Amino acid sequence: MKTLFEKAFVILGGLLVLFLVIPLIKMVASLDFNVARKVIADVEVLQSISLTLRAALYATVIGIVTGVPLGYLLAKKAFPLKNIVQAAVDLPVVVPHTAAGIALLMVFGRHFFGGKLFSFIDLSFVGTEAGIVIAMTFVSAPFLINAARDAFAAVPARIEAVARTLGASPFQVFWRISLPVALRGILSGALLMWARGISEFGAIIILTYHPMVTPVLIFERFEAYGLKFAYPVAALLVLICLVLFSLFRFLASRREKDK
Amino acid sequence: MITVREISCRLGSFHLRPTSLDFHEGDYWILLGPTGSGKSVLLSIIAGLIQPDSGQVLKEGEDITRVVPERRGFSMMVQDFALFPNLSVFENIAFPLRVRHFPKNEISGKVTAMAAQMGITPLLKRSLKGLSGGEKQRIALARALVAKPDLLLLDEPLSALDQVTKRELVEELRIIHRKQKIPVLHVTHDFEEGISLGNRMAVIHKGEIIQKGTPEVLSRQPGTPLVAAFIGIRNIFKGRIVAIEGGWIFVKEEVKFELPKGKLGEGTVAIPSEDILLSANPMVSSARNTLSGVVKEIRPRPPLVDVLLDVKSLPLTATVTQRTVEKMEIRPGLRLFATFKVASIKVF
Repeated sequence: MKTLFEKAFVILGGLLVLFLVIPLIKMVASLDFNVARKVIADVEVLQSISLTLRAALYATVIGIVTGVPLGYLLAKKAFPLKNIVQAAVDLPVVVPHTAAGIALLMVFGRHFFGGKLFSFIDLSFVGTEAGIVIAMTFVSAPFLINAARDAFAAVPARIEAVARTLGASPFQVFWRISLPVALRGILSGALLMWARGISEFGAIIILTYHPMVTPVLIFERFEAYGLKFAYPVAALLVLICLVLFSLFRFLASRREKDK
Repeated sequence: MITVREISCRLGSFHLRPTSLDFHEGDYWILLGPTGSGKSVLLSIIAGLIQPDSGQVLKEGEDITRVVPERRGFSMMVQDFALFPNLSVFENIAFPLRVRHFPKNEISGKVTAMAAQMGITPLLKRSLKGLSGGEKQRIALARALVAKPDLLLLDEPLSALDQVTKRELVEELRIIHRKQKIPVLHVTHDFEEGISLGNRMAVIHKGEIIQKGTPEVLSRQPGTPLVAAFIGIRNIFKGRIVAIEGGWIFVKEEVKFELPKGKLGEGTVAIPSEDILLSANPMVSSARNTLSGVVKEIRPRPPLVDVLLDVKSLPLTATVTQRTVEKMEIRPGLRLFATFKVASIKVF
């Protein structure tokens, strides 16, 4: 028998869950089969979805290569200004994303130093896939960094110390113990980062309206043609994301069971 | 030989005072001390995990104080086992060999032999899930020994185990130590565990080693009341020592008894509870001290029993066998006589 307190919590929490899932279910469920077929056949939509998934993947790879070492340092080492670094890492989460886009433009725009620097290797961030990637990286990296930091923090220092006395160098301890033990947390952070990248709109639209990532495409169709033309694209993107994330979760849980 | 010479270290408010220890082949050092006494700090310094402020760690005469832990050739095993959760039992034991880049077939041979010695061969292919404390401890010990360390550092290695498993592992450690003769530093707060394993013993308190020697010497001649308390001597009393008619008498409130000749004035005495005889009537014996008291409490401490007497408000504990309790029908409220020899009393 549940107590009154538990019942109240179930009702309050349940309301929020309904609020979160009903709109998405409604949108996907309203998808007409014939309309869906047309959307899938629409080259512009497919190109946009493929661009979105790919750019978010690049952003996540950049995030893993740089964010895992940063997460490790934040979890395991003391260094000057650590609190400030930690606050800086969280900053993109609290900054409005259009403002983040403006900030990025003021560094990586053609007339600014970042833009000029990369123009030497013919890399431009305005109106290009590279622009999409940096916008996604900027807004979504905190998710991976924080997940990696928490995952490394959960690896007991005692285990690492014992590994040192058993003959392992600091890198061997990281590679053979800390990283594998923290891997699950890091992967789930990477998945979150990828998902956050896919859904990014505000920062991208400032740097790169064209080529269009799917959130921008949905916005454009809604503005130009109305709800009827926007929601099938949105529903398709949600479906693809759901399938991919379920697949990753399934693989991750199987990996865990194998152990 | 490994030598720890005048090592000292400050960590926050804790201060490890200059400490020296020598490890010869066949030495099994017990570092005995309460929680927070600094025993684990000393262990970590020897392992190379903490840098001391001053002093040296020497290995065969070479200064290794600044050498990183992985190049010292020592192994550490800890209370919570610290097994690597991402590795199988085999890989846990193989770890020290893998990181030292041993050839694959050699690793397999050494791990299998080590597992056989520890009686854990059937576990080799398993993951760590569902292993018992004793099994985990054997794996941790196998892992610590597989690369033949020059010094084995054991940090409360038996504290997390039940009594039966503990006894088994004490036996195991004794056999391994007899066979391999690797010097051991075993940190514990349990005197009985220490005395059943060690052939050298140091008592550490508030960052300072207050006495060291063989366990026999420590038990026979504890240097301070603290050491006496630590090695399990129960009746430790502070009071005044006076000389009357050529005899030395300990006085605490209304209680008086005779002491061996020695210091006078304020002092502390310890009467080992095992050296106190209980009787229903005053005993005629060569022992010169007999006190009368009322049984307050009976505390089983298998296979023995502690009988707490109230001797005019002085709490005196005598350790007897269960058979004695039954035969003498000892129960709370019974008046008994406690007799002990002057020579058995230690005076500080």
